[in-house]
Amino acid sequence: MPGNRRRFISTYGFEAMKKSRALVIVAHGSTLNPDSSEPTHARAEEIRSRDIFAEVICCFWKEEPSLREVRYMVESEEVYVVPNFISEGYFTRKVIPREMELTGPLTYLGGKMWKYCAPTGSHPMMTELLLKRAAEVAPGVDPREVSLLIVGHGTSLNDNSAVAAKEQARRISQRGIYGEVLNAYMEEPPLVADWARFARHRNVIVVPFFISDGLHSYQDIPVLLGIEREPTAAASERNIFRENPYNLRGKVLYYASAIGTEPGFSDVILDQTELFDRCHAGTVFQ
Amino acid sequence: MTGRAERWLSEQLVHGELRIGEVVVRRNHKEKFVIHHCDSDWNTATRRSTNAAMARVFARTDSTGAYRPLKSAPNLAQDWVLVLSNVQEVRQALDLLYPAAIGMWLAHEDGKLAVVNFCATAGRQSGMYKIVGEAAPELVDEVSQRTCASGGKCLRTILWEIVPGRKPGGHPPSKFEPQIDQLTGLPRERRVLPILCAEACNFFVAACRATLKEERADTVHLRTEGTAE
Repeated sequence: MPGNRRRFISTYGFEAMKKSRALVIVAHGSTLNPDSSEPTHARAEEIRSRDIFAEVICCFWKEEPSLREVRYMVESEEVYVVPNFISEGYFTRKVIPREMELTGPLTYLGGKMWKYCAPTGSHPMMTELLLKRAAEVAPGVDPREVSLLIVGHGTSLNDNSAVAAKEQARRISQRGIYGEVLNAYMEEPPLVADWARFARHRNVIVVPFFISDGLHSYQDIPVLLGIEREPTAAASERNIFRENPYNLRGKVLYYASAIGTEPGFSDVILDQTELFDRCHAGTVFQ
Repeated sequence: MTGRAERWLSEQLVHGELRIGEVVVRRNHKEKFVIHHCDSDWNTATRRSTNAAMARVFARTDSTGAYRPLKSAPNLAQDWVLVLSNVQEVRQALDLLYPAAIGMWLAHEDGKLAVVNFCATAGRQSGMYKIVGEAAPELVDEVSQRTCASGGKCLRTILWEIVPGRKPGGHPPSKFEPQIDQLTGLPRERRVLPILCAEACNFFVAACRATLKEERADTVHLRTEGTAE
C-alpha cells in the first residue's frame, strides 16, 4: 500500500495547495459504542499530522460535534466535506446535505465555499484495501484455497451497503486471486449465519465492509458466525480479531476487523478531496 | 494560520484562566497551558499528557468507565491533566472536550448563531426520526426535563423554543440565560464560557422518538386489551 499512497499523493501533488483550506470528515458515530467513531478520529489525527489542511475536523450524526454545529468550528473559507460512509445512499444523499445545508457539490454558505466530496467507500482504492486486509488476517494461507466473504449490512434501510459490498466482491473475484469471493449480509440472503453452508473452501476469510468496529463487527457478526454465543458488551479491548483462526463448523475461519479501520483510509479521504477538484474544475458557482 | 478562535482564546488567557463546563484552562508559570477538571488537583492527576488529541480519550468515559456520548453532560472524569505548548493545541483540546462550544459562542457574540426552534428541527427529520414531527409540546417538555437539566444531565444553555414564544417547560429561567453559569447556577463570571444549545440535538430528537414510540405502544396495548374484553 505504500506504493499506492505515493501514487495518489505524488500524482496529484495537492499537499501544498490546501493549507488555507479545511477538511471536515463526516461519520455516523454512536451514542452506545465509543468504537464507532474511533476510526474517523484516528484518520483525522493522522491527516492533521501531515499538515496538509489548515483545519481537520470530524463531525457525526450521532455524536458531537453534530452536522449542524460543525459549521461554527470551521474558519477557513474553503471546506472539503468527505463522508466516511461505506456507500452512497440515504445518509450521503439525504441526511448530510440536509443537516449541513449543502445544496449540491458546491455550496456557498456562511461566507464559505463547501465542497461535498464522494464517500470514502466508493473510492476505487477500496478494492486494494479489502485485498490487503484479507491477506493480513490469514498470513501463509494459499488464497486459491480460500473462500473470501465480503460482509455488508443488507436491507434497504441501511444505505446501498449491499450493492457496494457486491460490487467489491465482483472486482476482487475478477482478479482471480481467491478460490472464491462471495457476499454475505446480516439481514438479507445470503445470510452471514449460513457462511459454513455456502463457503466451498475449508479456509474462510470474513472481512466486514463497514466503516468501524462498532456493534456489528464486534458484537453482531461474531454471533452470526458462531464465534460468540451471544452479544457481549462493547469491546475495544477484546481479542476477537487476534484469536484467529477459529475452527468452527468443520472450517478454518479468519475474521478481520472492519475495513474502515484500515489506515489507508487516510489516503482515501485525501484522494476524495483531490478527485472532487478534478471533477469540478472549472465549475462556476452561480 | 491563527484563526479567530485562537485569537479569542489568547485574549481570554491573558486575563488568567478560562472555564468551559467542567474544564479549566490556565497558563502555568512555565508559560505552558494546563487543562484539567475544575474540581481536581491537576498536580496529583495520574493520567497526564502533552498531546492535545488525548483530550478525546479523557472525555470519552466517565469516572466509572461508562461511555459519554454527550460531552456537555456534567460527568467528566477528573483524574487527568493536559499540559500544552500553545493556544492552537488548547483550541484543539477544547474542541474535543466541548465540541463547537467556542465557535458557537463567537458566532453568538457576532450575532451569527442560527437558533432553530424544535418545530423546525422535528419537521425536517426523515426515516426513523420522521415520527418526531408529531411530538406535542408537552412531550417535548417531558423529554427536556429528563435529558437537558443542568443538574446532572447537560450543561448547555438552551436558546431554542418549541415554537416561537414557547420554551421547553420544567426548567428554571436560568437554563435559558447565557449570563448564568450552568455548573453553579450563579451569575456567570467573565472567565466562564457558556455552552450554547442553538437547536435540539440528535440525543434529544432520539429521546423524543423513543418516548413517542413508548406512548404509542402503550396506547396500542390498551386498545388491544380493550378489544379482547
